[in-house]
Amino acid sequence: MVSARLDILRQELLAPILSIEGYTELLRGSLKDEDFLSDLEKIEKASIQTRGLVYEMLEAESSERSEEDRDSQRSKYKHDLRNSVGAIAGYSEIILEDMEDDGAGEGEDHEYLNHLVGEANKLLDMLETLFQSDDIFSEAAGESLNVDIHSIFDSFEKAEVEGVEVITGHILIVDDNESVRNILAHKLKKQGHTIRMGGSGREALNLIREQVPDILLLDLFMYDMNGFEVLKEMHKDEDLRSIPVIIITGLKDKNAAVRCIEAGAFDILTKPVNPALLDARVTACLEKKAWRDKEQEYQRELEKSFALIRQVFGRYMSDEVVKEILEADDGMALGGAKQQITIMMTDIRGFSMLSQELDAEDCVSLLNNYFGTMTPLIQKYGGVINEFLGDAILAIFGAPVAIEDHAPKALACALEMQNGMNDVNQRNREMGLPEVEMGIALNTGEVVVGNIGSERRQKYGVVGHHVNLTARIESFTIGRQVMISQYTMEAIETAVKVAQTLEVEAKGIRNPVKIYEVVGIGEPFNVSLVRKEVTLLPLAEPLLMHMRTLTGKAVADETIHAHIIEAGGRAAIMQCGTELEKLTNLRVTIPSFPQSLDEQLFAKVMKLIDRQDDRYIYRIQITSAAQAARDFILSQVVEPSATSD
Amino acid sequence: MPSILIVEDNEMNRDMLSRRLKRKGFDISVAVDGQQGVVMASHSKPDLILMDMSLPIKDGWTATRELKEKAGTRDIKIIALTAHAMEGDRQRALGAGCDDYDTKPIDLKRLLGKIEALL
Repeated sequence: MVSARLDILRQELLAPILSIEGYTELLRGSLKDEDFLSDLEKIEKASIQTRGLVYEMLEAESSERSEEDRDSQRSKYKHDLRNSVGAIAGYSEIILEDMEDDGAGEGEDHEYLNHLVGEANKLLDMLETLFQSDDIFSEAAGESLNVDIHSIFDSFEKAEVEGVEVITGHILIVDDNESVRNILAHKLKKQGHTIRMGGSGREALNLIREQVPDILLLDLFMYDMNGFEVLKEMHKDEDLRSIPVIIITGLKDKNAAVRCIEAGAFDILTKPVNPALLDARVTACLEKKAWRDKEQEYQRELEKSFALIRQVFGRYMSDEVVKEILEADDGMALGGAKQQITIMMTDIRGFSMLSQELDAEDCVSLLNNYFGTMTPLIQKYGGVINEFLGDAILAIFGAPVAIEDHAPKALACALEMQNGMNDVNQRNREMGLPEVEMGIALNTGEVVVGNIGSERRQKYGVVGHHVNLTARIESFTIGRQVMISQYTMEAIETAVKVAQTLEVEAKGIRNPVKIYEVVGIGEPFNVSLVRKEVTLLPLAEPLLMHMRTLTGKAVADETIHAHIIEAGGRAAIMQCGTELEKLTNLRVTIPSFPQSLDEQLFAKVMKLIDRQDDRYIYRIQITSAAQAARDFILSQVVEPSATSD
Repeated sequence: MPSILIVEDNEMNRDMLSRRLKRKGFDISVAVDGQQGVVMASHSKPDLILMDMSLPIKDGWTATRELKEKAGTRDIKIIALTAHAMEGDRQRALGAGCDDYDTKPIDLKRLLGKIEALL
């Protein structure tokens, strides 16, 4: 009991000393005059002396000794304390007098200095009163100090029973004054809280980094690092920022309280800490924290679902589109709806043949490289990848989130995708994979978009004859081409550069549809195809081909004989005796192929170059062929150096 | 202007008191123990001495008694200062010949009243 009372008395006597330390610290920051600062140093020195003397005196008082010894010891402590406390008050008055002489008006410094004098006198009065009783730890002595020791202890004992629904938590108490720490810990332990303690600002930071407490009770004035600094450090660290801090201060100054709250403290308690107030603040703080934790948990759950949704959808659409869908009030009408959109279909030319040549692993690497390059480009223009079908991409622009300029965006996107093929092939070369070419078709029209399927299996998709038309246009493209329908062209107001115009017929469409091969789009997109011009070189001898025309999947019976006379890249010039329509698909075999090369290849008629009577000269494009087959044809070419002789 | 000798061993007290009294216009000299106090008082004959009672070498009571016994210094007014505030301090001080008595820590206003009353 005596040791507990000793703690309480110590805390009582320390309260004014802590205030004095607080005010001197404030003054240290605000006093400018050198003379003032040297006096302030004396005040600081005196307050350290005072603190030490109070400790010593209390130790002496709590030890057994004769009445005679007690009197002489008290006389010594009284003498020393009067001098040290007197110096605090005296030097404060000196600074005040100097300030008055300087004509300095009444400001904050003035106020702090008056507080210093007041706190010093309060301490002196307390000491005087204490020394008048035989036992300074008696209740009578306590009462004379207006410390209701009895009720403090009462409330400690009663605390457990009073609690209706006590929220308990993990509380870290940091104060460089051991007695203050102990008193607080004693009280809070009784309430069922788990307590850890620290004795300095730095220790506070280490302890909270080690284990995050529910509440930090933090002393404002500590020698190594004060409470403000601890708060500031905590604010820098995201993990520590949210820890609620209750500041404990001996300072009864409103400004300091405001500063603490501004620095992020949850609340302030002044020393000596009133147990009932401590209880109320801690409970309020824990309640608030419990709510916030719950809120954060929901938030985390929500973010987790959002992240999952993003992850799943992110493969097909850009973050912005996912965000728009997630944020739409009605959760996005994914049911069927008719919508005007632009449809994009892409295809790697000759991929089915290529896939037979490549082993599975290379095939996957090639596709991943291709899709990996195309996906971000499609997302960049607000497109949504609806499907990857083997080597083909079906993407839509304008759904599920409506975009006004879906047609020009899709076109710019398509052109950029074509240019992106250079990167794809660069990497293919690095990986020892064959180079590939892609054709892209765009079409614009009203389609049904939404979740289509059964209850068990649903898929967001697009249906309608415009989808079929897109596929049809796509079949007319060769590598490196972007073909758009007249409907897409009509929807584009921006200037576009057209390389050629064709008319095609498609199933389910009564009139022929115009399609345009586009090589560039103007403001604000400014994308043009970067084309490597293929140089055609003559073959040493014309190369005989057997060709059959293809319509859809049907192969014509008639075999046409033709000769390749020039070749370069995938292009070739051939002559034959049959008139062929532009874009006719051809299935080709070459009799002079070596035994090992019995594959057939596919080509498309690109352009009639010349006609003399029954002799037609066409430019064709090999749309699908084994690499070896193409290499064979190119090996027949006469190199430029050879012809110059 | 009246001259005052401060005999005080506590450096801070000496510093504070001398500065505050100088500001009030007094001519101040200081001594740090009782013996030095007696020597200086005999030499410079101040109008008043502020004498701490618990001094090293020679305490305040002894020093006061010596000064009050000598003809040359008998008329110097002496105010005893004590931080002990023990019962009987006051009586002891007056008994030793002090003209007045004050307790530490110094309340300057109160002390000035006592000084003025004596000068």
